[in-house]
Amino acid sequence: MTKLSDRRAELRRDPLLTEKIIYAVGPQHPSLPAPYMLEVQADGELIEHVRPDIGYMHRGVEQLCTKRTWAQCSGLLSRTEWLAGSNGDYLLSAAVEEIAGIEVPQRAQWLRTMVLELSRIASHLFWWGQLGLEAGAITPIFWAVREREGVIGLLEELSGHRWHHQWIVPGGVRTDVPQGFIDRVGQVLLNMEDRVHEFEEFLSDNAIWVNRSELIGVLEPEYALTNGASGPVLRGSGIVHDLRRDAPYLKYDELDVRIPVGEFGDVLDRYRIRMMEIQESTRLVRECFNHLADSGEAYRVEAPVDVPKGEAYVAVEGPRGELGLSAVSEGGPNPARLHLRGPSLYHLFLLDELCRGYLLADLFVILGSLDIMVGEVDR
Amino acid sequence: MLALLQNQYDFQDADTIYEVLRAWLNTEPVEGLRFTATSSNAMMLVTALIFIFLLELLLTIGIQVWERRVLGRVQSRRGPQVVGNIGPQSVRRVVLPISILLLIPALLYGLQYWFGIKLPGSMLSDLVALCTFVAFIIYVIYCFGYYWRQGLADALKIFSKEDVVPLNADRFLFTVAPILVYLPALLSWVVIPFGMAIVAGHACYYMVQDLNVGLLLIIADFALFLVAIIMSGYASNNKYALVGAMREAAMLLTYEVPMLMSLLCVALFAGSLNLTEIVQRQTMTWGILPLLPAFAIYLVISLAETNRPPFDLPEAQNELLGGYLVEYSGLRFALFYIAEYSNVFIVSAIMTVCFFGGWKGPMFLGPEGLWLTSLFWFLLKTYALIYFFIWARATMPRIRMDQIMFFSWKFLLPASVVCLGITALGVVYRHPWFNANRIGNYQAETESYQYLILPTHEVLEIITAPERAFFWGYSVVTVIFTAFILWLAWRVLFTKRKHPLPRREVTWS
Repeated sequence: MTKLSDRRAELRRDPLLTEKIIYAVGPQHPSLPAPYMLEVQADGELIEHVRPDIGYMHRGVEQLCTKRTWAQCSGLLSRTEWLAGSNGDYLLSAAVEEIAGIEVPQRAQWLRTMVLELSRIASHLFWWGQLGLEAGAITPIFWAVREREGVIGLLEELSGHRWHHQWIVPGGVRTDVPQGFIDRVGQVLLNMEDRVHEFEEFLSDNAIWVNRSELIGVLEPEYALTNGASGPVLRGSGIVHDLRRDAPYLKYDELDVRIPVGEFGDVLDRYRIRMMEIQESTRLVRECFNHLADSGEAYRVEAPVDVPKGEAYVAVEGPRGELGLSAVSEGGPNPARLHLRGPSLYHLFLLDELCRGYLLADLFVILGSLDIMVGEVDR
Repeated sequence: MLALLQNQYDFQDADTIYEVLRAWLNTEPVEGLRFTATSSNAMMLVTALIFIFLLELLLTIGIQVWERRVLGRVQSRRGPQVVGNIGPQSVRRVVLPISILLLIPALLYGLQYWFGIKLPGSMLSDLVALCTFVAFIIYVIYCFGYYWRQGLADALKIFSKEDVVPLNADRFLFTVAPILVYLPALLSWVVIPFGMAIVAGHACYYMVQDLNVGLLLIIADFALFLVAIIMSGYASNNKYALVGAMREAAMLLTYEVPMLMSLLCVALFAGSLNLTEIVQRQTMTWGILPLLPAFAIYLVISLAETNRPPFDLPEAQNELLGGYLVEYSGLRFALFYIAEYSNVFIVSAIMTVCFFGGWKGPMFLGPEGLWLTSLFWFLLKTYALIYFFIWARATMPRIRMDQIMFFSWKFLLPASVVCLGITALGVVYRHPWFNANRIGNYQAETESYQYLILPTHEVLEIITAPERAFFWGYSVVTVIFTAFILWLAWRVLFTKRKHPLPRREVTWS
């Protein structure tokens, strides 16, 4: 039984005897693109803890891959990163090529670079629309999806698929580009540069948005490094790290990749960096064209069905950060072990640190700025 | 000339159209409708309520479909109402047969005169009147325009939904809250003056009750709204609903004070809380010109008052899943929904009345066409303001709670106090800027506001020299002001611009 004095002391500390609210954000919630849950403990609307609860979409992709041939795995891997599906295809192909020691033709490498940059644009555009929704503006998602449609159309023309392309295969790319494809890409990009400028005027220049995002969800560089942040989230905190420049794969060492870097590590910095990256990617795609003409005719070499014994770690600078694949082969047609490093998994668990002390409304803007891809979190 | 007018139209006894109708029905009772002197009060009250209800539905269902069309246009997609000109087949199969069936009694009734057939009239007369009225209403809603049909389909859909009450909800409050939300929204329509007409030599206003405290009534209605929303948030037994309701409470308390201040400016300027009088006092100039700061304050607050973006925090769709609406469905949700759009209309109507001269405008049809032109100008101004609400929704992200509070307490409240003080001083010391509208009445107190409906050149003949000076002065200011607004619009719409807020630059590595 509590003593009266204890009770009095408690009342003096907290005269209303208020409780903490625990919000369950998800598994179904308009702000979440796919099911996961955030258990938010808050004092009124002031957030104290955020505990992500994942596993609602676990499919066991890595385990399933070991039951399939190498070529079949890319279909599964692209379903972990569905907004930029070519990344998964590329990772698997690169792993096979590294283990088997296959030299990929020049033309295929340029084409792969181009497709990866195109899918980065597609992913970032969708992110922009999603972020607009999180901030309460309903128009951006429609504009973004409209522009994304152009890029998706190009990739569809190339591969026959809209999201999960499987165009990048071990040994090169599945087909050469169709007639007049380069011109159509040029048109889409030209149109899009204008549109992105319009997007910037619409949301980036909006005083409400700047007030919502400035110095919100500040990520300290040390914390970001020790907790495995990568990609735009890491660069937003002022750390220059981009695999395209620091550990170049494909043809990025021949391209002049400029990397936007933020200063404060807040939502606005991450936002600005992604917007800059869209423009930078359009420039890179154009540069790929220039090299495509004198890169030979061959676009594919035969890759063996049975991959020799070996081990490889390949990583790609995806739209969300470092997407890595560690593969072990013990000979034969199937991979023995496979592990995917998804950047979103690390970013999701930054939320607790990022949201502490901010309001409930900020949670969703911070979530939007991290750009969580649930396929990587639950694979 | 004034004397001539006064002989023709007795302006001193300007009344509401409701009163005129009642007086007429009392003196000449219509056979069959059974309005008598004794029962007329209750009957007229019911009639007035039905009239207001239908008017509200007619004017607000259009808004939400219009809004969705505009949003679709902004977002480069098709939007609603893509089912063709006669509506979806399901609606066509129901509505058309019903309204045709309802018209059969009227057709039968008409047969007597067309073919000389005599039917037992006493049996039919009541039925015919009722059925024709209902069929007419259905036809008006269904066929009148592009926007109403989609609204009707939505309404049918929402009425046919299952009515869910959460298991642990407070059943009584949960049921009462939507009604209490809807009632104030309906009540405010009583005092809105839509226009004026000359009926049988009487000038009368399109409104139900010409209250002396009309403005106060509307403000009080908005305060009632808050109580009902807290009720619904509490009764739903849902954290999101509760947080939404608390947000609403905080927001409305924050905004009520500056709103009152800015409307007080209008009351001081017009010298009355009576909405028709406020309109009538805006003779020389509309209220927006001398009271521009008050208008700006009220414009911002009206967005918050009606929970429209960017102030839609209480029902933030992607944070709170609809806030206090989260547990409501079916008819109860529909009440919230209609109340919201009704509030949008009311707020715009208040802005029209207080700042844009109500139904006033060039009366191009003369005194006889006053009934049409006044309604035309009123609805034009009101819907133009409603468009502003839709526009804001299409373009703005949502503001955060603390930012709203800071903005209101630190900026809007002091600004409105200063605004009120300046207006009060101006009115008391008869500064011309705030008294232009009074001089006319000063000179011709007994001759009242006759020249309100005259064309401008005739007004200029009537008024005195100082009045004329003010007229020209205000005309010049109005022209400059309009030119400024047009220039601003041109700049916003057609020029590539640099935003005053510099974008944060990222460094390139």
